[in-house]
Amino acid sequence: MVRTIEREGFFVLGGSSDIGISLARLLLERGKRPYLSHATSRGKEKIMDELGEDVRCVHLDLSSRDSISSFFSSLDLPVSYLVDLAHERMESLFASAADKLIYSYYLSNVAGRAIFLKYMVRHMLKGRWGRMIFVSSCAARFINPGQSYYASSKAASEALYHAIGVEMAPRGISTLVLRLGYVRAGRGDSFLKEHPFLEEVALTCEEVAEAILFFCTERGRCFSSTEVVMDRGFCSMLKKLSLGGR
Amino acid sequence: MDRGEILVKIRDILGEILDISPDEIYPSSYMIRDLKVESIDLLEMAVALNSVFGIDVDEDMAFLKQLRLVVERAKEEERDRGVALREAFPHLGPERIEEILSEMEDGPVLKVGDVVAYVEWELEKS
Repeated sequence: MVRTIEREGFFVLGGSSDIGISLARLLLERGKRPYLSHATSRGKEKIMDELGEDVRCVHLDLSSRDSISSFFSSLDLPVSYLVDLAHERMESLFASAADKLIYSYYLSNVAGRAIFLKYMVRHMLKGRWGRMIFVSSCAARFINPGQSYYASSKAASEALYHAIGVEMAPRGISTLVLRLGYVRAGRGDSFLKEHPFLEEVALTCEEVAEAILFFCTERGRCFSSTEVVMDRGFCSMLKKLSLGGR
Repeated sequence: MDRGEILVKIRDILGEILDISPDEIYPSSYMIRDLKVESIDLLEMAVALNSVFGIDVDEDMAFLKQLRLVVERAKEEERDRGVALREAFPHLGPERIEEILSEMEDGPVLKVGDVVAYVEWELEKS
């Protein structure tokens, strides 16, 4: 597998996630100094504890237009690669969620992302080059009870990336959606403890980070405006076990 | 920055985007009819105008995107179309507004000179 990342300017949205930290480590090993965003002070602390001063940290809250605007006005390096790992969890039966929560959830996970991406596209357009990877979830395709808001916001975000890929291909900006199955991190990790039969299909953060890195290489860029499922057969298992799916 | 300097920069921007010589671009050139500019070119142009002139570009205004809508709405509301256009596109002079109204049926009316006028108007504001 060719793993040469030719350009500089690697920005990880949601950089304090476990996958973000793993990805940053791989980039540092390859002599790249990524830019990692965090939405909270706890996220910043996690990045600093795990990676020290080797990475650049920036606060970015997708629910705030001011935060997005401030980010772009202070952006002092060309971003060539965007890896989008930012996504809040929301678990509730569809008809149980509080109105206010529904509104704020879509504001930060869909509307805020759309505004952020609009400006990121314009930023990349200056150099007529860009690679965007959106890390999605099999939940965008197979919805289990309680995942309606999470799954629908993932699906909407996937559509944003597809649209960018289709519109901006003539200007050298390509996109890819990477749909993950279960990952040994965060919520996925606790779910695996409750459902040990899924252990064999679980992915590690390092495996996901390696895949993301590949999709940022020249060969990986051949995959464009589409989605790739990385789940070790998890979605097939879902169908077979009738755990969900549509 | 005067209108001539703005025009030079805009011709350079358009020349690079469209991969043509700036010498082939005139204030009277129709962007879409003559230069075959597409919507993605306008987006790239807006980004370049922002970068070169340091202005926040209102693409609807700069590229007269809502022009037909403004005219239709004026017609529905039985308002003077010229007045409605002057309100929507304050960077355009009365003569240009009259010209636009007379040539609307012939196709997209946006000219390079309209973008120059928009940039000049934005720079004067700031």
